[in-house]
Amino acid sequence: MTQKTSTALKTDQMFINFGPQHPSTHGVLRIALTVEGEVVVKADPDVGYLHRGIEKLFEARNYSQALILTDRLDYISAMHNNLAYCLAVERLAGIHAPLRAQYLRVMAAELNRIASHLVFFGTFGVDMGAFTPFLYAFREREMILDLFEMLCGGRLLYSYIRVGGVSVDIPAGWAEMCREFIIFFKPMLKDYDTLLSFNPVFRDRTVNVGRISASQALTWGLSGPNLRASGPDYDVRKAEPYCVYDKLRFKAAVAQNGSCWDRYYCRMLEMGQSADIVLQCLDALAGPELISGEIMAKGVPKMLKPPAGQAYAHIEASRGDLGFYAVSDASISPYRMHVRGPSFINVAILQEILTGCKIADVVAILGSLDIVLGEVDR
Amino acid sequence: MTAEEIFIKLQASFPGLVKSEERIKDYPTWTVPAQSVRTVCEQLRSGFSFNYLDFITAVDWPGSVGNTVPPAAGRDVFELVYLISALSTGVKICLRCEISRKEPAFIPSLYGVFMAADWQEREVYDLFGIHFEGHPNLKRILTPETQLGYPLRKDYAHVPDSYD
Repeated sequence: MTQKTSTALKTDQMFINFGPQHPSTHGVLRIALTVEGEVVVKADPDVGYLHRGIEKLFEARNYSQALILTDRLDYISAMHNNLAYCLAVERLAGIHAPLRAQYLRVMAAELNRIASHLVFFGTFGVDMGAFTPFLYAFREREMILDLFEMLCGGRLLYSYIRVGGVSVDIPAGWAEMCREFIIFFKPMLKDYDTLLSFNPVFRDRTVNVGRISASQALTWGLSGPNLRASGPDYDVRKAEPYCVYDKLRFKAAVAQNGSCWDRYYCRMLEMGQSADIVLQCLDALAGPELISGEIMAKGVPKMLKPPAGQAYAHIEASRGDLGFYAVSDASISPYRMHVRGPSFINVAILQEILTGCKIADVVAILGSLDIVLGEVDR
Repeated sequence: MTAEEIFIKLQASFPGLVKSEERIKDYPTWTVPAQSVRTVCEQLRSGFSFNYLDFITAVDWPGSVGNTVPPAAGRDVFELVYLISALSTGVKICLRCEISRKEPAFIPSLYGVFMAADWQEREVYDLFGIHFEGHPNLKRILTPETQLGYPLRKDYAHVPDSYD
């Protein structure tokens, strides 16, 4: 601490650097905390340690090369990034993916949502001092990663969803394995509830901690489970259905209290909904009206040159409303590509809600927002 | 209320508000004079229950970069893009405004109308060098303090440092 800052603080105040190298920041986030005893009086989140200039890199690649960059944004749920990017480019170029590809996309996205929320469930438990749920979460996540590996070869960065469709159809035996997994997984949610959700110690740490009101959540632009935990029922899958979500039955998980526990529990409920959606997709894929192997729109050129124009497409990703704003100048690479990363917008509210909370709750609040720094810093 | 009806009501008080020829697919897109973007957003928020700011970003349209002439030659502007929504009705409206690329480029900040503007405006400032008037904490957010120039401008040239 420099001489200047130490004299600027009152004698009973202390300045703490939380991160950037700290296991509870889930990456490289630094929060500059000024504390008075146990109470935080000022919190200043500092991001950018993982900035790779991805929006600039888009401009130097063609549309198919740029797809692999999207994997590296929110690397915990890469399918959603692929999907949002492809929807934006398809809107720009006027391409319509075949129905079978739409179902495959939704199924992959929902499986990835389960995997992503499992990482949240495990690591949030570790943040709160419960190690056992982490092992359960990663056991189940491993099964999803195996399914993805069978499907497209990738375990973390998939590039499975392509402009115009998806890269491959499901291999033989995959649907049965996936169905087996869902049948195994759905009862596990009850185990998670007994392990963590209704554990008295865990509830003491999270219920009524870090409350965000509905109006706060809206003005700060929160999205996904973070917004719905505060009351507003806004789910892009319902508000602006993309792919085949308008044909599927599911409920958006909503809570009213807006505390850490509500944000946590919204995600737990969402996992059950996602499992149901995956089953519906598997049923549809086995049905007669979807022609096997019809996974790519016809006539999509290898070197895509969308007409000059601008398009925006957004989806409900694991962490919220993920959008791609694409500008084309009719050349082979995007003229401009902006990513509306939900994590980046969700993390900004920390400066307001951390003020006045206890220093031990900083980890709980940060963990409950479920950010991924790859998407914050881009 | 549909976007069309809102447009007619708003245009009475803001004659500078026009529908853009080029739409952001597939949203109603309006062009706003830069100096009234904050008041238009305040009106939309208070009068038409637009309670959510989806994103703010910018696009650089330089008149020329070196010897090459970009597609929008002669415009020499920064285009700012805002997408705002009324979650209760599901209406989304895209606002565009153009400001001159001459230094320093200024536009009113939406800080206070939508708090989501806080970090997103800092991001646009960081990467494009557009100043948001009225933003209380306008400093670089993603790039380090030692960063020279504004990376997302089309004429950005990287100056090698000790890490290159």
